[in-house]
Amino acid sequence: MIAGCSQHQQYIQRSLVDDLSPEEQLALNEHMAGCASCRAEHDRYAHTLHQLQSYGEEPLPRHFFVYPEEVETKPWQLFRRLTPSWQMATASLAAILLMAGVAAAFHVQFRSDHGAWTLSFGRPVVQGVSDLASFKADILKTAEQKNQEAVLIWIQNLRDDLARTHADVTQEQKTQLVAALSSLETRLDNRIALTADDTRTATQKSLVELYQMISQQHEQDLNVIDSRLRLDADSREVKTKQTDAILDTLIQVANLNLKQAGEQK
Amino acid sequence: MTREQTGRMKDDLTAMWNRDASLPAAPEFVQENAWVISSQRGDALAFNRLVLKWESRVYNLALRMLQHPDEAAEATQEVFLSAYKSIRRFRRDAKFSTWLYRIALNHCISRARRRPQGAHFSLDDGREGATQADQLRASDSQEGELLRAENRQRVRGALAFLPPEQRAVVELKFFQEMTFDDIAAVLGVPLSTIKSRLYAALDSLKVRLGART
Repeated sequence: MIAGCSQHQQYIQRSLVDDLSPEEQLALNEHMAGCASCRAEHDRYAHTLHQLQSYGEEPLPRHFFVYPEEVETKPWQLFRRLTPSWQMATASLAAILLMAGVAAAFHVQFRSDHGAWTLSFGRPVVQGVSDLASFKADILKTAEQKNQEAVLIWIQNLRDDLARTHADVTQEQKTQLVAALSSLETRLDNRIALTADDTRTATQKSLVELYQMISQQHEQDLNVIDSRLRLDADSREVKTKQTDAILDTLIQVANLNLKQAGEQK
Repeated sequence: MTREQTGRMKDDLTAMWNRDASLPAAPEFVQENAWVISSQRGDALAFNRLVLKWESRVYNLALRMLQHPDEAAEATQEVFLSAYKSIRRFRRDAKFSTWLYRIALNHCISRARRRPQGAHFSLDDGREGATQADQLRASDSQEGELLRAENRQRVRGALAFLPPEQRAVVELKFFQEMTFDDIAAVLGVPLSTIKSRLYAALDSLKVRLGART
């Protein structure tokens, strides 16, 4: 081995895979011309490459055809076979459906209250609870509406039943049924009207009674106040009389004292 | 194939030629691309034409990477199945063979890593051993085949001592005769890494194959 062998030995590998510049290749060739050790190293690498390149091909044991039925068609594998744009679209749709499912499960609601958007879980809280009177009125109104709706539905059901049995009944029966239904409807209307009148009358009666009760109470209160005022006045008169009597007595006593004093002089 | 499918394929081929007019007008290349396009549309017959063309190379690659004929055959089948499943994602901006080798090498490297340490590799599988025995009794004309079989055994034995990553680089450089740039594209690692792996592999191989017998 001569000077510079270590550097040129690095070139040997590279020269065998055409990874040297022309200048480096020239330098290596010149070095190897005078260096037996590097020539031997080059031969060993060259022999290694020769063996690799003369490997040849092993014969195939069988063919490796692919049959479509062998290919598993799990949803995830079908997804992977889609093009990226379709994968993106499918994933977005799945995400939206998942979010909608979660939102439905947890009653998520977006609401606009007084111009502000809010997100909440669960059913909305009834607003305006502080206004109790209007809240009660709303409830009563709603109950009344529901009651009326129930009656109307019941009548509608009866009508439907009538329509269903239309083919099975005679004309006379039909007339009777229609008349009965109309009569029932009229009676119900009358009953609703009577109930309304009764309610109105009862309300008026209650108001009159309430007025009378309040008037009586007011009169009693006035009498009590009057008697108290009279008692106070009497009491003040008695006290005045007593004061006058005491003053008269004191004056008489003073006059007597003056007389006695004059007589003594 | 319907008239509509044929029309689409023609359109695709025309678009491909217009995209890169410098492509060589090799009939084999056009034919392979036509098979790839048909395969991407779900034509299993077209894909099996590609299998027929590439199966020998993929099998030999797997054999050199995994050392065992049965395991190599199993891996080859899995590679083609995997390629069939994902061929719709092949964008045709690279060669089909580059894409296929990438699948095959990743598959073989993954298999080699999963294999327990010290697992066997076949330097003398039954088929080849029997062939040798027969050949020893055979005429001189078969001596050449015997020598080639021995050489293959020695090469596979030497390759077995390399780490899978170095074996992959040797495979692509010396058996598939790829350029460094193509190897970097297939393995997805920098060019400098490819070269350092190759020279390290050559050092190891020289120890086992460099001496003249």
